[in-house]
Amino acid sequence: MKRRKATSRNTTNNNLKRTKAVPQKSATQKKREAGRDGGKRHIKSFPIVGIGGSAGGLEAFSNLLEHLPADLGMAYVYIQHLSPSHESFLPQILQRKTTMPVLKAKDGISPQRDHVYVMPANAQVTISNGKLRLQRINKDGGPHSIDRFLTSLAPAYQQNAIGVILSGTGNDGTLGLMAIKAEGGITFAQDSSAHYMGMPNHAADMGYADFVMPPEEIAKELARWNKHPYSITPQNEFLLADKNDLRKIHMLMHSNRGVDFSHYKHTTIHRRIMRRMALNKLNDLGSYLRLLKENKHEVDALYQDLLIAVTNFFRDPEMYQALTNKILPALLKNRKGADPIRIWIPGCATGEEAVSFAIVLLEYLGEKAVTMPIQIFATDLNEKAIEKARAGVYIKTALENISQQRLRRFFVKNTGQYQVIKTIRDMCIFAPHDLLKDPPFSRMDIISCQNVLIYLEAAAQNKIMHAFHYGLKPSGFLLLGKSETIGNATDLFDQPGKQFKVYTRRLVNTPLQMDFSVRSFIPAIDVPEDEKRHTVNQVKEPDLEKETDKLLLTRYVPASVLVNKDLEILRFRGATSRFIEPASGKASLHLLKMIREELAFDLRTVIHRAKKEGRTAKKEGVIMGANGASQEISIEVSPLKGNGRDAYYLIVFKENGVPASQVTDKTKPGSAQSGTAAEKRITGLEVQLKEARDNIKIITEDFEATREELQSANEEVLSSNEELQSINEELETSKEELQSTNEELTTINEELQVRNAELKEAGDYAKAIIETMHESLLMLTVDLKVKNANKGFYQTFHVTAEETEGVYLYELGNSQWDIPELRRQLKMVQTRDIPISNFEVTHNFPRIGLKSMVLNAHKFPMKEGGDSMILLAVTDLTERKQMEETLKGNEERFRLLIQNASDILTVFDQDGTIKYESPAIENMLGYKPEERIGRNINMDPIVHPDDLKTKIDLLKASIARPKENIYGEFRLRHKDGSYRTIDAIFRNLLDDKKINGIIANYRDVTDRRILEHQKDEFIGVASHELKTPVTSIKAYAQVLEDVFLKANDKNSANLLGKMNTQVDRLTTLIIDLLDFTRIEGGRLKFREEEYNVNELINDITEEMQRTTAKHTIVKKLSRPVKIIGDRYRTGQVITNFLSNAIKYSPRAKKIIISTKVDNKNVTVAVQDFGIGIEPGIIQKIFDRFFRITQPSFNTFPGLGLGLYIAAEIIRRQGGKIWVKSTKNKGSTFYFSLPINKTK
Amino acid sequence: VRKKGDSSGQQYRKASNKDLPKPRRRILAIDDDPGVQDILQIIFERAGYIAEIKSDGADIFRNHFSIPDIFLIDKQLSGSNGLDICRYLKSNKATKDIPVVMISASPDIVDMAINAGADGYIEKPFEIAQLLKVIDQHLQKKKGRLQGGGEI
Repeated sequence: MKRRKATSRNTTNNNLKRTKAVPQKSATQKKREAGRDGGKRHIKSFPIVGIGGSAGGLEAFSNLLEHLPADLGMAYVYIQHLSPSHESFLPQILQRKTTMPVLKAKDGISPQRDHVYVMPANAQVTISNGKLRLQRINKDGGPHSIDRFLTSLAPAYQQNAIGVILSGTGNDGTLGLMAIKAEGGITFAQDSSAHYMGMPNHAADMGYADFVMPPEEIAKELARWNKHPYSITPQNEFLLADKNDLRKIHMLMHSNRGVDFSHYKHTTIHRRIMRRMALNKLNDLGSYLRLLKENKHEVDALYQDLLIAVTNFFRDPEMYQALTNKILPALLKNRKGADPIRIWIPGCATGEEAVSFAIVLLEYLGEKAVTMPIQIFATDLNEKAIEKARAGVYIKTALENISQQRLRRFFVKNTGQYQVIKTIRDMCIFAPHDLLKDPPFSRMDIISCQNVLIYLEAAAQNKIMHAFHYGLKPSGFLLLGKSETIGNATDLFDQPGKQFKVYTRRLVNTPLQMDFSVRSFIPAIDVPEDEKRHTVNQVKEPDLEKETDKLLLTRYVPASVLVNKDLEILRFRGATSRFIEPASGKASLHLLKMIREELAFDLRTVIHRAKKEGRTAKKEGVIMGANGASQEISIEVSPLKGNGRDAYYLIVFKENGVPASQVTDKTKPGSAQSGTAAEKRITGLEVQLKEARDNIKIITEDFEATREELQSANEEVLSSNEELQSINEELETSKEELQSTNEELTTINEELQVRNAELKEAGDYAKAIIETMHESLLMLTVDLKVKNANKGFYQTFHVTAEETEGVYLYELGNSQWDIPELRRQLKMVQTRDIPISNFEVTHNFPRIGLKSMVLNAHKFPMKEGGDSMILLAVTDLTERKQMEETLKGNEERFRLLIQNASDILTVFDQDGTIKYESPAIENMLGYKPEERIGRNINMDPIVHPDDLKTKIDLLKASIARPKENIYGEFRLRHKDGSYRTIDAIFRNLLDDKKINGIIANYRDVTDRRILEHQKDEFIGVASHELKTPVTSIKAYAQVLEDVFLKANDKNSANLLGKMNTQVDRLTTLIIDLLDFTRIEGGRLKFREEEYNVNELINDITEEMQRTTAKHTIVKKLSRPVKIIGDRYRTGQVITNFLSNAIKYSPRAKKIIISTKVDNKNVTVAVQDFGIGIEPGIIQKIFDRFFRITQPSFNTFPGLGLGLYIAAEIIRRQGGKIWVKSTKNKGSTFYFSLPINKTK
Repeated sequence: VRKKGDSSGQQYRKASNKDLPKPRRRILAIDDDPGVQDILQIIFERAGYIAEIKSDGADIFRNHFSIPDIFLIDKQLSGSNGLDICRYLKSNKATKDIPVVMISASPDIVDMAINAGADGYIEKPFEIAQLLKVIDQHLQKKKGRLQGGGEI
C-alpha cells in the first residue's frame, strides 16, 4: 500500500507495520525517536493538517480558512480532487480567504508553519522526511489522492498529524483518517453542512472521525487543539504522573471490558489516554478518570482507540511468498486428506490477513481444496473489528493489493463494495479472543501473529510465546511481523531462514506458564515501577560505592556463611576457618558437619529459632575452646528471602574480643580463695558437667540420628512431592489442553449455534412441508416397523398415529398393507438398497376400499454407521385414476364419434395448413389422414381446380369472421380420380386455446346433388310438358271466347274468360314451381339488360288490369328511369305484388302502384286496401311456402311461393324488398333496385 | 279429340278469313305438338295469315319448303332442336333475312333465342294477342328492312 511504499524505504525499523487490535501509538516509536537526529525531530515539532475535499470541498475549505486564526503554528495541506487536465487557480482563490500564504505544493519543499499548501492538478502529494513529494498522477490510481496523502502523513507526524475530510462523493479519505487515528493523530469529518455527504459520512460511519462538525467549528477546534498540552509536547508524561489514577484507569478498563491493558507498552497506552484527555479538553488524569467513571461512552471510546485496527490484504508479500513456496509444501508433504489445515491468526483485526491466507491456501491447493478441510481461526480483542471481519465487506480502496484476477475469483461486487465469497467466509472462524487472558487455540499448523507483539511488554510477549509454543503442532510454524522477534523464547522456537520471521517449534516440553483461571486482578502497573526503582538505585550508585562495599566485605565482614534451607553451605564470607573445618569422612558442605563440634549445639538451636520465627536469631556468649584458649563468640542467624519458596540463612559468627580463657582466669583467683571445698565442689561440678556433656552428646547424637531419619523421611516426602508436582503439572497441562479445546469449542459452538438455528429453520420448514402435503409419507426402520408417518398418511388411510407408530408395516391396520408385490419390492430395498421407483399398485383396503397408489421408497443412512431408514412415499392416485378413466372414456367416446362420423373434420392453422384430419376422410375420399396432415390449402392437389379459389375464400372469410359458421361448397378428388361435391362449414376457433385452429366440417353431398339435379331436371321437363297442353287449352279458350263474342253469346264468352283466368293461374303455378326449384338449386339465372322501369310497369299493369274487373289499378309513377337488370324477373315481382293486391283486397276497388326515384334507387310500391297482415307474421311473409290464412277467408289458393321467389329475385339483383301493413286497412309492398348500374 | 278440333278449326278458320287484310302473309310454324299445331293453324288463319305447319325441321334441312314471310319455331322438337333450325335458316343466304320467332315453354328461351340469331321469341303459354303482336312487329320490321335494303 502507498503508506508502506512511501515510508518503509526511509525507516529502518519497519515501524509502520503496526496495526492489529492493540493500541496504535507505536511501540517502536521510542526507538525511532531515539534513533532520529535532531532535524527529524524538528519536523514533528508542529502539526500538519491534511484537508481533503472533492465535490463541494472548495466551499467548505474556504469556510474553514476564513475562520482559522493565521497564527496557530500549523501547516495545512489541501488535497482537492481535480481534473488532471484542468489548470487550477485554487491558490489564488483561497488566498482571498486567509492572510496566511497559500502556495501550490512543490516537490521537495518543507512545509512551514502558518502556510497553506494546495495540491496541483496533475500530481499526487505525499509527505516523507519532512518534505512534500509530488508524483505525476497514475492513471490507474483512481480518485484516492486524499487517502494517499493522509496515509503518508500519519506515520511521519503521528499525533501531530491532523486529518480533515470535507464534502465529496465516494469514500476517499476514510483510510487516511483511519491511518491518522491509528497513529494518534486527530481526525475531523464535515457534518451535514457538506453538499456531498459521501466522503465525510463514510469516514464518520466507519468510526474514524473524532469530530463531526461544520467547517467553522473545525477551525475553532483546531485553534483550541493547538493550545492543548498534548499537541505541544507529546512527551509530557507529567500529566500521567499520578500512578494511582493510572492504575485505577486500568482497573476500570478491566472491569468494564475484561482486558488488562497493563501488559501493553506503557508509552502506547499513555499516549492513547492523553489523546482522549485532549479530545475531552481535560488537563489532568484525575478529571479523566472521573469522566471515565461517569461516562460509559468514553470507556467505549478509549477502548476502541486502544484497539484501533489497521491492516491490509497481503501486507507483507514476501511472507505470503514464503507461505506458498516453503511453508505450505512442508506442511502438506505428509498430510492425510481428512486432516484439516489449522491456522490461527491472533490479532486479525478486520480479517484482511485471514482472507489473504484463505486466498493463498485456495490458490495453492487448487482442486484439492475441495477435499482438504481448512480452518482459519482469526481472533481479535476488538469485537467491532470481528463483526466487520465476519461480514467480509470491503471498500475498493482497501483492495488495492488484490489483483483483478483474485478480485474476480474471491470477491463479489455488491453495491459498490466487495464482499468475500462464501467459501472463504466459511473457512474463517472469527472470534473475539484475548491473547493474554484466554487460553490459546491448540494443534495449529500455522500461527500468524503479525505486529501484535510490538505493542506488548516483554513479560507479556514471553507469556504469549509460551502460548504459541503450546498452540502449535510439533511441525507447526509461527509467523511474526517483520519487526518482531521471539525475544528470549529461543528455547521454544528455531528460526530456519534468517530473512523471514518464520519460526519452527522446538520439541521441548514447557508447561504453559499461565494461569487462565479467574483470579483477582492486580494491574501489573506497579511492577515496572519497582523495577524502575531498582534500576534507578543500581544505575545511580557510582562504582566507588561498589568498590568500597567489596573492600569492606573482604576485610571487615565477620566470618559468615550462607546456607540454604538444607543447611548446605553456599558462600563463605570472612575468616571462617576458626569456626568451620572440614569434617573427616565424605566431603560435605553441610554446615552442621563442618562446624566446630562445640558450636554445633548452639548453632542448631539458633538456626532452629531463626527458622521458626522467620527473623534474625542471636545467641551470645557461646564459649568456644580452641587449643586450650577458650573464647566467647556470638552466633547470629538471619533468614534471607530468596526467590520463590527457597529460604536462605546467613550465619554470622562474631568474636566478642575477650578470650574465654581470660574470663576463666578472672574467675579462677576467686575460686582459689575459697579453698578445698571449693575444689571439691569444682570437681563435683566438673563431674556433673562431664556427665551433662555426655548426656548432651548422647542427646545430640540421638538428635542427629533422628534428624537424619527425618531428613530421609523428608527426602521421601520431597520425592513424593516432586512426583505429586509432576502429576500436578501433567494435570495442569491436561487442564490447559482442556481449556484450549474448550475455548476452541466455544468458538466453534458459537458458529455452530448460528448454523444450528439455520438448520432448525430448514428442518422446521421441511417438517411443515411434510405435514402439509397431501401425499403420504412413512418412515420405516430397516425391519419395516413404522417409525413415523405424516398427516397425509393418517388422513388418506384413516388411521391414527397410535395404531401406526412402532407397528410392523405388514401388520398395519389388519394387515391391509400386506401386498405381496410390495413385500417383494421392499425386500429389494432392505437387502440390496434398490429403491422402489414409481411402483403403481391397486389394492383393496378393507377400511377404505380400492386405492390406486404410486409407491416410492428409498433407503438412506440416518447417521454415520447408524441404522438406516426407509422412506416410503405413497401417492394416492385413486381419484386421479377415476378421473383419468372417466376422461379417457369421454375422450374415447368423442374420438369414436369423430372417427365414425361420416363427415370429415379438418383443423387448419392460420396459414391454411391442415393440422388434423379425421379418419372419415378415408371413407369419403380414400385418403388416410396422415396423407393429408401438413397440406396447405393453397396447394391442395385434391381440390378441383375450379373450386380452389372458393375454398381459399372460405378460409379467408372464416379468418375474418371468428366464431361464425361460413358455408360453402367445392369439389374434392377422390383417390379413385372421381370428384366428390363437398358441403363445408368453416368455423374460426383460433382464439380457442384448446383448438387454436379453424375447424372445417366436410359433408359429401355428391349423391344428393345428383339427385337434386335429377329432380330439377324432372321438374323442368314436367313443367315444360305441362305447359304445352296448357298452351293449347289457353289458345283454344281465347279463340272460343273470341268466337262467342263475335256470335254475341256473352254468357259463353264470359265462361271462357273465367276459364282463361284459371288457365293463367295454372300457368303461374307451373312457373313458380320451376322457379322455386331453381332458386333452391341455386340455378335461377338472371339476364342483364337495360330497361325502363316505367315501361315495364305500364306493360304489366295493362296485362293485370285485364285479369280483374273489380279493381282499378291506379299508376302514380315518378320520372322514367332506366336500370340494368332482369326485366322479365322484375316483371314477375310486379306481377306478384299486383296479383296479391288483387287477391287480398276482394272488397276494395282500387290498387295503387307508384314509383319513387332518388340518387341511388328506384322504389316500386303496390298498395292495396284489403285485409292487411297480422303484425306477428309480417316477418315470415317472404319465407317460402308461407301463405296467409285467416278465418274470414278460409283459403287463398296458391303454393305460397310467390313472395319468396319475388324476394329472391330482388335480393339477387342487389335490391331490397319489404312490406308495411295495417290490419284490415291494407298492405303496401315495396321493392327497391339500385340504379347506379345504369350504362 | 283431334278430329273434333280439326273440324271445328276449319269452321273457325273460314269464319275469320273474311276479316283478313290483303295481301295475305305466309307464316311457317314448326311445332311437334299436334294440339299446338292445330291451334296455331286456327289462330293464324283467323288472323288472315297463310300458315304452313311442320312438326320437325327435316324439310327445312332438305330445303324442301317455300320461303315464308316469317318463321315461328318451337325450341324443343322431338328429333331436332328448334335453335339448330334457326341457326340453319340464319346461315342460309336465302332465308337469313326472314324473321325467326322462337317459341318455347322454357323461361330461358330469351338468351337461347338471341344466341341462335332469332329475331324474336315468345313464351308458352301465350296470349293470342301477344303472339300476333310479336308476329306483326317482326313482319313490319322485315318490310321496312327490305324496303330500306332495296333502296340501298
